[in-house]
Amino acid sequence: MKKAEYLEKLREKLETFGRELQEEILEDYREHFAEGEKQGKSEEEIIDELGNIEDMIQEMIQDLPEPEGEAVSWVQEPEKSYTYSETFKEVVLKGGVAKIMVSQSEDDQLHVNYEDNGSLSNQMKYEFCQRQENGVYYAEVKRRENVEDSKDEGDELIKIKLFGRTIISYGNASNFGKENHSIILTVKLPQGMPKLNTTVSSGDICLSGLELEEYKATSASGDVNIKEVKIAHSEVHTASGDICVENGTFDKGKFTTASGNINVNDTCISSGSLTTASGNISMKEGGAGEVKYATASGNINLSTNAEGYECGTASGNIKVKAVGTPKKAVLNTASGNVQFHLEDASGVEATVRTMSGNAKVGWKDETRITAKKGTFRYGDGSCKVSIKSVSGNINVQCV
Amino acid sequence: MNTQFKKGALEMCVLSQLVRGDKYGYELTEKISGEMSIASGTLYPILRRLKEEDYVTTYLQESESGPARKYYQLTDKGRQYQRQIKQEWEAFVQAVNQLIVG
Repeated sequence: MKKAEYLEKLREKLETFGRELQEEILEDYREHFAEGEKQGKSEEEIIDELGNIEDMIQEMIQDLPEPEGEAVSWVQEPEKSYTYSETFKEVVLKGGVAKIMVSQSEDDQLHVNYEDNGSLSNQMKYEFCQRQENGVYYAEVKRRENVEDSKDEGDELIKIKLFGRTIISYGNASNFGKENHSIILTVKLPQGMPKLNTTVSSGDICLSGLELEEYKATSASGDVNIKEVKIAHSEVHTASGDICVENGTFDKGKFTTASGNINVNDTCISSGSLTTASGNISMKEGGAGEVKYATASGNINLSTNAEGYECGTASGNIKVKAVGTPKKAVLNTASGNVQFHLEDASGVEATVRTMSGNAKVGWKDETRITAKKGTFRYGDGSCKVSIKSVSGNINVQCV
Repeated sequence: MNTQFKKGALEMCVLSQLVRGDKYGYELTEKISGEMSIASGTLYPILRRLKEEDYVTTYLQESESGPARKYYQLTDKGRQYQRQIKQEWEAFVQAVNQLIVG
């Protein structure tokens, strides 16, 4: 390619930048040619030295919107908002390290807001993706591929600024963990949205003010908080995170955690189960139908108005304060103690058995019996109670 | 290489070259392409931007032979900015050296 051809190509490429800029750059190039020729260089040599026109145009394009050198090109905006008026049959949210907050929309539209308040290095690590498929809306906070994580826990927070922006920043593990919670995915569901599915790893899930047909939540170490909801079928599972439910109504509710605690307050569960391996289970001021409560080493503490109680624990204690008129209670523990407190019942038929512990059964103020095992009937005997413990004590008290 | 990073580095090189005295375009590109492999053409948009940001001014001066040359001169603002980014650069290099040495 010769000089004339090169300059012509340059003129064409510069066309979109406006006459003034086009002429300015062309003039620079012409001067460059003149100087080069004066040095005895050939046109080809000079062209070679000036380089690919595209590279230079790229440089100019970057200048166009005048980014003021603020954002580094591979860092996306820290906040993104979307609104949809379509009707979706399901919303699937994968938060990862982000906190997911879901509530009811006020205008029958789906609102999604992604916010990353973390440091630049944090923003580099995660990105927000979304898609729609077969009437299902998916949103995900993803870890970017090819962004390396610094694992040196002993390192202090290092932040290096260059040319007015942070280009390297990393800190120790504790710092890293804290930053993760600065990513928040806030979703507002339109009324009538039937299905919701939320998954997080270390982020928390907060659900409030919703009415759903089906809800599924999975979390590794994050907590799941559910407040003021009405859900037909709900399944919540966490590994080490806690599950907290307040003021909810569930036709069918299944809450499972490995080492987390389950706390349910002022909630009605018609059928289902609360299960934990080493965590505690607590349910207060609500109602329940046929619900099973099970824990391996944790304690079970219930104070509800339920039709029946079915509790099992290996080494934990069971404490049930039944309000209303339950029909049956089956409480089993290996080494823990069991306390069953019955209020307002018209009668009880209690079958108790303990190997090495003591069993006490009391009816109103009248009777108090202590025995290792036996069946004791009072009033109309309408509440059938069966309590077994291997080495723990049993206490049944009706007032 | 990260384009922002590269751009920043080139900006700093250009400004630093001008600390020692005014230079015309070709002279600057010769200096820089003598040290690193870059398409000289890409320096012109950078020079234009530096001018737009008031870090440099330009003036034309006749040369002994041939057409007039466009000279670039550092402004006070440019001089200050150069000092600042040079410090940042030195801190950066030091930190990187610390890290790669282990």
